[in-house]
Amino acid sequence: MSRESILKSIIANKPAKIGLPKPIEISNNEYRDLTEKFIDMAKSAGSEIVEIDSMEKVMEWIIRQKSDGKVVFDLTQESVPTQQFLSIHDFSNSDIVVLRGQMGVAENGAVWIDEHDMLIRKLPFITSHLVLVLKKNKILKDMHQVYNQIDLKNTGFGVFIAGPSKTADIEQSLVIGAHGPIRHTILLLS
Amino acid sequence: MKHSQAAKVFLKNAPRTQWHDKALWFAREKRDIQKNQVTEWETLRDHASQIKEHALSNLDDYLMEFEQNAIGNGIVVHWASDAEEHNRIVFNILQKAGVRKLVKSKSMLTEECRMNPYLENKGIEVIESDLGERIIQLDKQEPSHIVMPAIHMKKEEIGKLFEKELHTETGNNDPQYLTAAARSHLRKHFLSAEVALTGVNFAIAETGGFVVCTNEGNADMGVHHARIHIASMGIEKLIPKKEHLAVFIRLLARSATGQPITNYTSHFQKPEKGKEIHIILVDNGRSEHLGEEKFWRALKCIRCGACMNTCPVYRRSGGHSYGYTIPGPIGSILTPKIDLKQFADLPFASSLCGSCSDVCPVKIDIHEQLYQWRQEVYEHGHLSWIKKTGFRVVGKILASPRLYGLTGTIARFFLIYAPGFLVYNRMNTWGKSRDIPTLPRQSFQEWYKENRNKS
Ligand code: SF4
Repeated sequence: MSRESILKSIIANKPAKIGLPKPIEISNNEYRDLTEKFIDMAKSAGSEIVEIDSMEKVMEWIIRQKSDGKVVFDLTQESVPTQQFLSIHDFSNSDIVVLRGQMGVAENGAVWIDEHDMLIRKLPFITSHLVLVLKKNKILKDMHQVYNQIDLKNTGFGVFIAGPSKTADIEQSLVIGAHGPIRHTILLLS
Repeated sequence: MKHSQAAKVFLKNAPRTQWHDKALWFAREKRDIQKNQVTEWETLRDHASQIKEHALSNLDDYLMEFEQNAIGNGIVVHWASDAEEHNRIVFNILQKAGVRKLVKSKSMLTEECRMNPYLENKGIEVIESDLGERIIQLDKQEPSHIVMPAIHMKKEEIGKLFEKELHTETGNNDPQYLTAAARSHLRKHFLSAEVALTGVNFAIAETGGFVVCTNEGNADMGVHHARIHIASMGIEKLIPKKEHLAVFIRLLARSATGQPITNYTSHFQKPEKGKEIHIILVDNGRSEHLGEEKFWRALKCIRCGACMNTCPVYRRSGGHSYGYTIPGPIGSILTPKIDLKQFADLPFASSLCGSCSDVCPVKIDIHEQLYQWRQEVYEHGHLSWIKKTGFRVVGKILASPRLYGLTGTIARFFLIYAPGFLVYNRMNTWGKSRDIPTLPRQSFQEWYKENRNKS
């Protein structure tokens, strides 16, 4: 079987054992203010940032955006009722999906969400406007810190999202909205 | 075709060569800006290098740990010794599912395995979903770069191609417009995808999961719509622990495209309810490569493409001139291991300036390996006679101080007084697009003899 022959070949050929370096706990970069750095980085990745001070205002903001499309949101963790939604083929261009963001990363403006936040996995990708609600105190400095908090063994799927989907495959011109969302908003909740 | 001949064809169009050179240098500059914002950049590179070396030197253990955890997560694990076996596994999964179409995101491994032609021969429709890869596929070309597959194409050419294939407006070459056309064209395929394939950027032994990085979101669009997700990975993609992801994710996008992180960094741990994930662990020569004392470190590569963007030879000869899926400096040290004779000229497609090793996020000693491969090529008798004779003569001269001094005097005489055709002739390819600087009449030695007693 290939499994055995591959493993045998590795054992026969592998170099002498080399040790692991000591883990990096946190980066040396000094940021004046984590929220400020996060906002800067998120904006440069194409995210819109709206600072909001209460959950009620989040709801108001969503309703204001909704126009004629369907709004799908799942903020179950924040004890807001979950709306049922239709099959994926019914999503039109005016759809907004609102999800809870678990953690923000100051060094790159990305937000971590996992399966528990998105009902079905295609949701954050199929919508044309993704809105993530993130608490300011959930912004961490860097990837080392964030990975220490992420529990991969307890989720089926998780993703860092940094801005709307984009491509630069044609002459390196940046185009927003390759396959996924065209708009990406982070509602920063204090 | 040899690299130098293919490069010659590429260089015929001078303005285009310049444009290509600049486009790649732009990517290098973006990388520098990002790199300069991370104070511990060099520490990260050291860590990344050491983690990879550690993982490769314990690869059998980590593969078994990964396998066990992946199976525990409900992932089906396959092993493939070579390209053929990999392709067969993919085909069997499709056949078992009764599906005739495969939607895939970018994977250099499937290019290496020549999977698309294999499947197409068996009647499977393969849809590349990364924009660059789709352009290349529609135009029946090969990617010329591992991160930016269509970097060698002008927007006018892509406009023409889309006009023919996607019925876009005549003469509209606006990247925004063309991307939108590709978006709606590919969306149909995403929504109807039943089986989707992705590559793997990192697989984690400790968690039995893997990570895929894209900017477009095409990998996620494919797999989350499909019933079956196939992930193809080379066995060298394994890292031991979750915490190591932090090191690699911080380095990858900054090195590749000058972004602090890719748009989507997706972590697949378990299949979604009612769905399947298959992972194919591919060897295809890697385990044997591990036994090459001077060359095994090339397996640390995370395929960021930074060494291509910085390479003065790659920028001025284009990816296709290397004649292999992975071009540029890293390609030139991977290919000789695959077929020393066929790729004998690639280790010479370098100025040995060392820029590739300087930018490599996992600190592969690329230029030193290039130099070592040159010795191998010579020892195995694959050197062209011009190079061989040239090297032999130069070797003799450099070994003898007397000959060296004499040659210098004669050379200076000739270069100053000889007509151009003697210097810029067919035998001397260096003379083709280069001018020799004005030479002093005296060598340093002669000058020193004359001046040492003066002051
Ligand atoms: S060799 Fe280094 S620089 Fe080149 S693609 Fe691989 S990781 Fe990137």
